[in-house]
Amino acid sequence: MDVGAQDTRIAIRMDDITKVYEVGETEIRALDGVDLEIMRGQFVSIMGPSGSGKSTLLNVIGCIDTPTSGSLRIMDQEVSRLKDKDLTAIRLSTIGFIFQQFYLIPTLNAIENVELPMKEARIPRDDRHRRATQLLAMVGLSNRMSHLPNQLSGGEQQRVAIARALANEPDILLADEPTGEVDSQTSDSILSILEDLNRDRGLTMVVVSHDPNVANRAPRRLSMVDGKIVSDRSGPMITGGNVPRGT
Amino acid sequence: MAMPHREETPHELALNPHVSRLPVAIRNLLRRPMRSVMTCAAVAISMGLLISMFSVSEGIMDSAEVPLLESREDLVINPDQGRIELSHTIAADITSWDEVDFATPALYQDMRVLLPEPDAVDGRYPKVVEALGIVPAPFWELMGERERERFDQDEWFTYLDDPYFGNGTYDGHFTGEILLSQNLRGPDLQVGHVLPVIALDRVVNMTVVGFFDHEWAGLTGIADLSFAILHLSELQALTGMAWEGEGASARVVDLSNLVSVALTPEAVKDRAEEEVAQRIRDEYPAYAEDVFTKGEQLELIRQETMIAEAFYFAIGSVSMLIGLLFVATIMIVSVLERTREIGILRAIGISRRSVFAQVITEAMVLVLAGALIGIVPGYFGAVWAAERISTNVGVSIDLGFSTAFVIQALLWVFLVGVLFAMYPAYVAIRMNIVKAITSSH
Repeated sequence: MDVGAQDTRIAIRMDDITKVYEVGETEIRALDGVDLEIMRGQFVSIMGPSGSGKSTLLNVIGCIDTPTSGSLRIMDQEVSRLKDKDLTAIRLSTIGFIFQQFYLIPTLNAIENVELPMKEARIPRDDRHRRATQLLAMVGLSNRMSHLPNQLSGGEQQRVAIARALANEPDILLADEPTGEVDSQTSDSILSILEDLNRDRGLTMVVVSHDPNVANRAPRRLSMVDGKIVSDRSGPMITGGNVPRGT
Repeated sequence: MAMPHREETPHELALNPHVSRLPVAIRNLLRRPMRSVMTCAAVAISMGLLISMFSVSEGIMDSAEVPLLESREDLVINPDQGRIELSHTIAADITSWDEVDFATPALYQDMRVLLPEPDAVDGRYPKVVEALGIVPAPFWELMGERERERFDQDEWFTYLDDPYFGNGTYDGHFTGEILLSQNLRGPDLQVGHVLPVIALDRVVNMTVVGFFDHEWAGLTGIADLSFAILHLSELQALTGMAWEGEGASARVVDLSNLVSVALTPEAVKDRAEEEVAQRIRDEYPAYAEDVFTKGEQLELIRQETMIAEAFYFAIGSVSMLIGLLFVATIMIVSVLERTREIGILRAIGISRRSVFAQVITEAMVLVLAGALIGIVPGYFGAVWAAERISTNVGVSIDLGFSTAFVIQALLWVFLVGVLFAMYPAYVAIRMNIVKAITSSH
């Protein structure tokens, strides 16, 4: 892999990324020299046993964790050595994050949760309200907008979280076990939403999951063991259009 | 990238609705209503103590200074120890000077009296009281307006019924009346009753010729005081200590321990204080070291009241710091309880600055709510403290409580509150995002 090369078709590029944690005197290599390219518009799933490094990989891609060494480019920008302020800006505008446990802000209702990143991005009140309404309608929650998280079911909360992740029109959507806390029927509807987003909006999507049923919905499937990518398989593409396929 | 992020300008900060974090702060605080109420109560108590102690502190200073500032006393001869001999003669001489309107002597000292006490073995018990010997008319002239209002006894100051000296015609050669400042009036001691006074190691029975009472109400909230009035001349006559010479040539020994001097308005305008002070020093060298201008007296008063003022100031400040430390502790607990939430905020792109501002806003809501509530107990606490000081110490004070003072105290609490809220806010923004998200809180 040519580290210096620039390719605007690449959404995420990792070169020899390592992440080492020190627990007492023990070093844990959560990521061990990961090389990875994900093209814009690709839908990629990452599987692997617990402790394989898949969540760490997602956190590093999502700029909420920094690699110990190596190079990481997000949308053609080197981010591995950026300061917190710049990483925060990337998280706000370029990356949408969906968590297993939804992680909505409990004191804000559904629409306020969706508006939160837009507020931070200085989007005017009317615009952000209109967009948040549209996003909640898209995930089927038009009639639940003023509900607090504890008044919503798990599936509804996850759909609010998806709407929140889309608030600032990110280029990349990252999901860490997005269906881990919901039943199979809700899981299916959530995955359908993610597939639609990938297909219709050309969003680059990276989903981490234990569940093969979830992972197999992605055209490209990575497997990790001991901080390394041990397999990288591609199946039929879900995305329409001319979005390039990954390696 | 869809939405470039940038730092807002101060202008945008002021205008952007994003900055309105108040509703979110209130909602966050209402998650734990009891805790928030208790924290507000702690701040309110601190603010109450701060205001009342500062009011008392200011009051002590004011009460010490204002009577002098308002009085017509521009100069004073006030020997540290001992007496001024021929004080009336000196006063009369100084009064004759062009720059001087009048001068008058006064006598301040403790006096032992035997108060009626039915349960005591011999029906009396000894008490040391503060005695003030004055010539009433010039003393009244000397007092400032506020002091006159306090005394409100101008009738008494024209009371001249002194059986020992010319049927009330003061000749300027004796001190005048004695005022005993403690609360002496009671069923067993009324006008016309005999009050034994210990003078020169013997007991002299003197007649109480009057009382005047003080009831200072309103902001000052001062308790009742009852001044007993005795004829100083009677004491002098009965003890014989004050007489000089014999028979027709006998005259009262002219002793006092203070001579107050009031300059003419023109001399005050011309700032002739120093000039007159120097003349007194030149003409009465025995008291050269004991002449003080008003400015010098004020400085002495400030030095004397500084300790009391510092004491009350310290109590107020410490109480406020304890209250704000409480807020800081509560905010740290609150932040740690919301570790995961803060981690999520950071993960979805909320800046450290915004998180910091949110925590500060929450702390300030607590501080300001508590501080505003605390104004009420602060006011009543100050009035109560003034009453206690008046009753127990016998010194009346004017409280320094005012709108300006309250605004000053609020600003002070606000600023220190922001300072104390910074640590919890700092704890919040320094969190590791991944650890925060995966924490149990």
